[in-house]
Amino acid sequence: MREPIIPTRSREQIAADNRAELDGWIEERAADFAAGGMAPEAARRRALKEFGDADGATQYGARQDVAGDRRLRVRFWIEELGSDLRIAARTLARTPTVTAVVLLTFAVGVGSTTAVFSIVHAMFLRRLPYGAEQTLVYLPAADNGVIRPGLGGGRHSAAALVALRERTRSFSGIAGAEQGNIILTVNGEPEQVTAVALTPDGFDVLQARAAIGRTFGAREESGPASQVVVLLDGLWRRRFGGDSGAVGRTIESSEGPVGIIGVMPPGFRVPTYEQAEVLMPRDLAPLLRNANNSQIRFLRLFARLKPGVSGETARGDVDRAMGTLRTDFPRSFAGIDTRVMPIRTAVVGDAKPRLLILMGAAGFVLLIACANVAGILLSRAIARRHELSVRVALGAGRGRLIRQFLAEGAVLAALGAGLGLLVAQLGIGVLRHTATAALPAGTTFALEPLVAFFAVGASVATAVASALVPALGATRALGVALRTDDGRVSPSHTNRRMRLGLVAGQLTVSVVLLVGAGLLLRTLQRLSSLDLGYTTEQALTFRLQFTRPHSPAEQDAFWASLYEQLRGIPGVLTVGGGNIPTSGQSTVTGLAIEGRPAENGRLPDVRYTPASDDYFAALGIPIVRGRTFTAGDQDGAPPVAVISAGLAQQLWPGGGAIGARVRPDPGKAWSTVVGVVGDVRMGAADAPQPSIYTSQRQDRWPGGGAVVIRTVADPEAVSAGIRQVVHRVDPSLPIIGLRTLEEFRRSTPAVAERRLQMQLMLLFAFVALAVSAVGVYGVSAYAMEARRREFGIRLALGAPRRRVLWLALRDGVSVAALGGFVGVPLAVLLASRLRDLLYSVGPFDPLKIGVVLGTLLLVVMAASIVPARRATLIDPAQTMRTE
Amino acid sequence: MTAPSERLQGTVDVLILKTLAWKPMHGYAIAKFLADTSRGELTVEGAALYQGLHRLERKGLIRSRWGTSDTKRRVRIYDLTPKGRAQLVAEADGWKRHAAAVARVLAVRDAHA
Repeated sequence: MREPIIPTRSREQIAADNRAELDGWIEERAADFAAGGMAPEAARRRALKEFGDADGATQYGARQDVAGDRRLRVRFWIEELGSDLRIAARTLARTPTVTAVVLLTFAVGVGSTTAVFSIVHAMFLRRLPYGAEQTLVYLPAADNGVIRPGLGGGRHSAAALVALRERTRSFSGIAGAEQGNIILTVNGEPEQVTAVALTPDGFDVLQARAAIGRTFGAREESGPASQVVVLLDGLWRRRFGGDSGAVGRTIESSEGPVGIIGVMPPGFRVPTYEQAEVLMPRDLAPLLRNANNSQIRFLRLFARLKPGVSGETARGDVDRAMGTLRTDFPRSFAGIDTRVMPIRTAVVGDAKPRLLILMGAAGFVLLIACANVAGILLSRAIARRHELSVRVALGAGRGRLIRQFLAEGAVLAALGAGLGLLVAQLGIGVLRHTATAALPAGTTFALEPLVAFFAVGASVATAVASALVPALGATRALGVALRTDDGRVSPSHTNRRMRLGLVAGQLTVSVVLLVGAGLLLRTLQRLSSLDLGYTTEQALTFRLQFTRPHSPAEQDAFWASLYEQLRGIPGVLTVGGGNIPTSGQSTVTGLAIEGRPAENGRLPDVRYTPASDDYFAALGIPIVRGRTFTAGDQDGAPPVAVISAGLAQQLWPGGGAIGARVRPDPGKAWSTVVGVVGDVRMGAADAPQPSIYTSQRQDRWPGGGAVVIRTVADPEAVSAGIRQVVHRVDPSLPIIGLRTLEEFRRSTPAVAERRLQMQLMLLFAFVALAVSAVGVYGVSAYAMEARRREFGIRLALGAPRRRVLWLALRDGVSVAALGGFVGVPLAVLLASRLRDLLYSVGPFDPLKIGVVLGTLLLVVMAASIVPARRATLIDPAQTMRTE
Repeated sequence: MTAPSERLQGTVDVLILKTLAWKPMHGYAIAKFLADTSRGELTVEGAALYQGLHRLERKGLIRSRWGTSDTKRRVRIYDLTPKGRAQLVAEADGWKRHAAAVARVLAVRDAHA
């Protein structure tokens, strides 16, 4: 039993009441005095005097009353809220299935948005560990206005670093970093780790200090003193168990013994080289001694702006410096620009648009879930029409009713947030497995406090938004209904239109998501069927890196023995040595051609790798002209090279490539071109890369090499044999990255990113469709219930059941049509803005759009057929009796 | 800004509560009741009483409504809330103990004299 609502008073009302109370008091006292024989005037004066400070008392009273009133208001508000919440919980519990479905869609919406947001948070909102973020910049090189994608992109020569240090004034320091591999032997166990060679000023530029020990400085740049490493936190924990005694130890490595001098704090990473686990000093002096090396580009440059220098100023400074360099050294710098890029842009790379699209897709799912919640509250409001009108009749204001809806929303929000967090946690787990290849390396994400806060915020916002639609709609409709209601009422048109509108919106969004997913699917198909220029089926690849230096003779013997024994494994067809195109291990170099001056002072860029005799056969690269390498191409014989067809066409359009002399490495002798082979692509979406190959027995890479093995049947079956053979040839050699070329192809960023995006998009699209189906079902079931009487009458008057079925289906079909009508152009419009993500797929693809619309219609029909069938089963006789 | 001292406030409050425990009354009736029951010994200034009433209402110990007095005037009639009744029991005990303690102290001094 609740106390009646005590109307609260305004300040003016309080003042008037108190004045009246006081006046009555004085009057009564005066009357008593007057009864004792006092003159009325004197009696009144006496009463006032006796009362004391009347003004003070009324003011004090007013203050107390205002405070008391406020307390009362809060108490009532809380009480009412409590009862609203109880009613809401009871109402929701009365229809457990509907509530469960709504909550599920709600949780999926909140959860998926949160999971994607966790990545957004990790990439864009997390603090970077480099001091003041806005003063650290990345200085990538651009060739003819374009920063080349891939590993070679943006890199500078050592000469460029030195020149920029000399010719710019905006920076307190410019550091160079180069990624490489090093094999560390800890406790007798060799492991290859990614290393970054850093110019010693790098720590100042990045504003990074060691957590334990120290970092290296200028005196450790060269000579024996440079045999030091600084470990990153991850490697230190993994291999040294987080033991601070590791600092000071000397361990074996592929670069000779190295001393561990420090450990970086957790979370520190070299920007853009997030996989690196070891830092080593980089000495540029040897490279700078030979001017020929100025075109070898391997360094990424990072710079710290001087205090007070803006990015704009620095940009002008760098542009001017590059201008003077191009004039002074056209051979090294023609066509090269240097950009000034905020460090976060460099770290996040081009992931931003992809992530925004996923965020948008997840947001769409949330929006659809929102519409479902609104729909369910709306139809419930209609069902409770009578209860609500009674409440209005009893004096409950519209505000009170709106609050009732908000309370239902709040209950849904609380439950939804809890479930949503659960879904988010699951989603993040799944993303960790699938998303890492598609994100900048080293991006970690989790359900961090800010992310959880986001989930709760999203839940509350969703619930309030979903509750407000029916709250405003139903209460307004109720006002109309109260005036016209005959007690049985057909539902107001406003409400029906509102529900249909919500569902049409859901279907529109579903169409957009489906079309988007379809586009990405087609892109992925195109990319996967794209001819890379070599065969990826039934082939394996792995890399070896020597744990100690090998002489050329040792190398030749090692490779010959290894190839021989690998060929002996049953099921192995061909064994080749050399980098596979997608591995990113190949060098890009400027190719000198004998007797031909550099064009615009610049040599053509080519991908360059030494290869064994059987390399082309093992990869399935066709020979176009001439020959590939044979046993005779060894030290002492004339150096030879093989070039790609695209390069031959580019340099010798009229023919005559074979016999020409070229030099990919300025430090070496001229090589004669003996053959032309087919073009290969570096990445799935890249153009064919001009390539040059040299004989592995004339041109060796000192550190190790890659092997390609073509098999007769299942490549996985021979991997055990490969491990045995490598172990027999040299037990100290770890096998690096043994996998099939197919796996390699799938893991290349262009494909992996699009696959993840397609999968998520498809998932979101199907969730959206499923959630919309729930909405369609709701609309149909509701329409069916509301028009039961009408259908009964129609049947009684002899309408064929088929006609009634159509009437019942009509709403669903018309919202589906509306969804398609709005959704398709919207999807095409959005897709045309996403051209960067698509590959040889136009935004408008009639077949796919047909499929999408067909799916949509099917789902809508399926969702509305059950309630519609029920309509045809109405017993007309019974309808007539109840009339 | 007249802020009655706390001890005076406490005394006025407990007197109001005790009076209203008898029956609901309006302000002036409470003043008369106090003067009558204490045989003129206890006179509370009107202003203090008035303030006490509003203070107690703010605290939720009493509540008020507009009514008609015996003399047919429109007056604000105050009544104890359950919370006020509980407060009165607690305070009355305190006051009695206090009074008894004072009385004992006075008795001791008399014996020595």
